[in-house]
Amino acid sequence: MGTDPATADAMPTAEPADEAASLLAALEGPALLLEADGSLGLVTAEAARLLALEDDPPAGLGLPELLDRARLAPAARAAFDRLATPSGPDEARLTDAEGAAFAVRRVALPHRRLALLLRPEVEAPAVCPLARPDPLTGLADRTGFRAALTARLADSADQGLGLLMLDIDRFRIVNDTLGPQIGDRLLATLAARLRRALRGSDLAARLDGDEFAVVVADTSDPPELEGLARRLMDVLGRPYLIHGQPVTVGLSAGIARAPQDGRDADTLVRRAAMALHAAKAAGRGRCAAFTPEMQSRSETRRRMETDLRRAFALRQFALHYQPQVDVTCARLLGFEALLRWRHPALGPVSPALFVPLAEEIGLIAPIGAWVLMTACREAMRWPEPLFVGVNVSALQFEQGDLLAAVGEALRHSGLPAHRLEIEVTESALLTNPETTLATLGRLREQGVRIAMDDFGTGYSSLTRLQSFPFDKIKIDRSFVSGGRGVAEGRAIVRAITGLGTSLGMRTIAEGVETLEQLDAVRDEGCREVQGYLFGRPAPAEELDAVIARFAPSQRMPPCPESACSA
Amino acid sequence: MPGIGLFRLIYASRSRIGGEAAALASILAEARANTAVAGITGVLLHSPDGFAQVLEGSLAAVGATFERIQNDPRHGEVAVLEAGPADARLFAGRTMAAVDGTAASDLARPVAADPAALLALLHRLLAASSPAGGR
Ligand SMILES: Cc1cc2nc3c(=O)[nH]c(=O)nc-3n(C[C@H](O)[C@H](O)[C@H](O)COP(=O)(O)O)c2cc1C
Repeated sequence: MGTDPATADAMPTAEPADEAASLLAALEGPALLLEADGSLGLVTAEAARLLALEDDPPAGLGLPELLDRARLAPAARAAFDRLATPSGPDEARLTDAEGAAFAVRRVALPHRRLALLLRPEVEAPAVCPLARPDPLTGLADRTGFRAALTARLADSADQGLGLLMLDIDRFRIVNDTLGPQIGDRLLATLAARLRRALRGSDLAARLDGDEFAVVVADTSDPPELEGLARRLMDVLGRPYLIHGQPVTVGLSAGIARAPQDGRDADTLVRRAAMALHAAKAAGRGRCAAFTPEMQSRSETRRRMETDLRRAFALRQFALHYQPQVDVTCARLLGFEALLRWRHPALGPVSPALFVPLAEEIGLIAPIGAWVLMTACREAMRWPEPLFVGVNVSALQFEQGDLLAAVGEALRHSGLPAHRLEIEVTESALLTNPETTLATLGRLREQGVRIAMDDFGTGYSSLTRLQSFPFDKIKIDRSFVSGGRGVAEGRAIVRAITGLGTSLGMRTIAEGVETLEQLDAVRDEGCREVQGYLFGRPAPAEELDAVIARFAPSQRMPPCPESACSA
Repeated sequence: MPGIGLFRLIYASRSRIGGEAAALASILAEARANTAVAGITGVLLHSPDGFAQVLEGSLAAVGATFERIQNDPRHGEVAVLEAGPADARLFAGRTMAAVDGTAASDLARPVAADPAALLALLHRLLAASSPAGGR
């Protein structure tokens, strides 16, 4: 909204006279043209209709007389009048005698003429008596939106309608880095853009936070809805100037259609939200339309969520243990504890599936505490100095008190701290480096060993290795299996091993399954190995046999003499 | 950020009118008429590929005008090249002069332009197009 002071000396003076006419023509729609002396030069037909003028006003009529003939609320009439003064505000929102809103904007023209441009603001409040505007943006709020959507679904049975849901990518970061005032300004300005970009018959709402919705009247045509979504993402995603500072955000959008995707407001909103979720998951800055697969995927997810909660309550989890071996002398060093979940109907579920879900629903900290407790108790039954390695998720550093969980597990089991090894991934170090490193430091002070897991896969950097005195680096299996090219894999194993040696950290190669792979990693200087070749992950009951197999008295099949030179 | 001082914003954008003369004429007319009222000076450079514009005036005026322009579907891919307080008007007396940049080859992609080069170019083109320009 412009409240710019008009500066008379900035008015153009020597422009071609027909520019006014071409300007008005270009700005087709409701408009008034005022001559330099304040008399009416032109009233477009649309303006006459909007102002409810009975008949064509005679030429030369003054603006006050014209306004007398228009059906305007008294306050609106005064505001309108003020707009004709070049030093006053250049924009106003008015309501007519019936309460319909419209905006008027003043535009200066050559030869001291003025144009007043009228713009109806059809927000369809009539359909929706409950619509309360959201105070920040002036759009309908969630309640009002739901009521309006319900009403429209009831009387749009034939043409159908579209529902778009939009949200700002990483809005929290804007709020956190620039402050909530800028965040609020951004939301308000974005909402104004949204309103402007829509037709009067569409309805925009702010559902909550940075989530917006649009009911698109009269169409459920997918290309048309997608076109609109893309147009909105374009306009709302252009830079904003907020308190003099350029701010740019990206948006994602989800689309649902009535009646195809749902006939009632709640179903439709849920499905648009699902589509939005899918768009964000696909990498943000995208737009996705609802598909039935999204529904079944989300149902599967919800069922899985319930099952996971039940599994945790009933302790349907188990730990399996995989040996880690020093290949230079075929000595068993310890076991990595691996979480297993056997779903009653689906059978074993991969941790790659259920761990992220557990993280999402806030179950990871309690599950993690249970894993620590169980693994430490189990390790107490193994002969000294065998250790147990336990994976911790990035979220355990944030959501749970990892220090307390470790302390409790050690105290309850009686396991000496040095026989526990905590494995962290690089991504855990990325999400919140300070707290994570501080926690790891405290654990290490207590004697717990720290291993860097899956090294080489994420955003590996030397500085990350230098940022903490890790006891061990676990080389990701993809470099061992040759999945990234055998020669490249070997070169990386060699580089990491060399790095570990110079930093005083042990290195272990994961996923060693064949003798060739064993020879390769050993040739590259790696002493420790974990993989099927030396044993699959096995339940606790079977570990006695594994331990016995590695006992010094037994001969180890896969340990050629040449290896024991290092 | 002070609201009273002089503020300057430079942006570049890609045209969505494909160099159509009538559409361009109305953009130029709107730009000139509106900015005069707001006490904004500056220059609007256009080519079939895109636009580049300098807006200078009070922060409130520049902000309101820029926001209005941002809503315009006749261009897109807007990139702000510069935004901040300014000491003096670079285009004093220009109520949004229009400059045809079609001949300037370095403007084929104004979105990628760097602000200093763009400003220099705007001044050069302005001087060439109307020797009487300036205060
Ligand atoms: C590249 C470009 C530059 C523009 N420059 C200005 C400008 O400097 N001042 C202005 O008021 N409008 C300018 N406009 C026009 C506005 O975007 C807008 O259409 C016009 O101000 C009418 O606004 P309204 O839709 O609120 O009536 C420009 C448009 C384009 C595409």
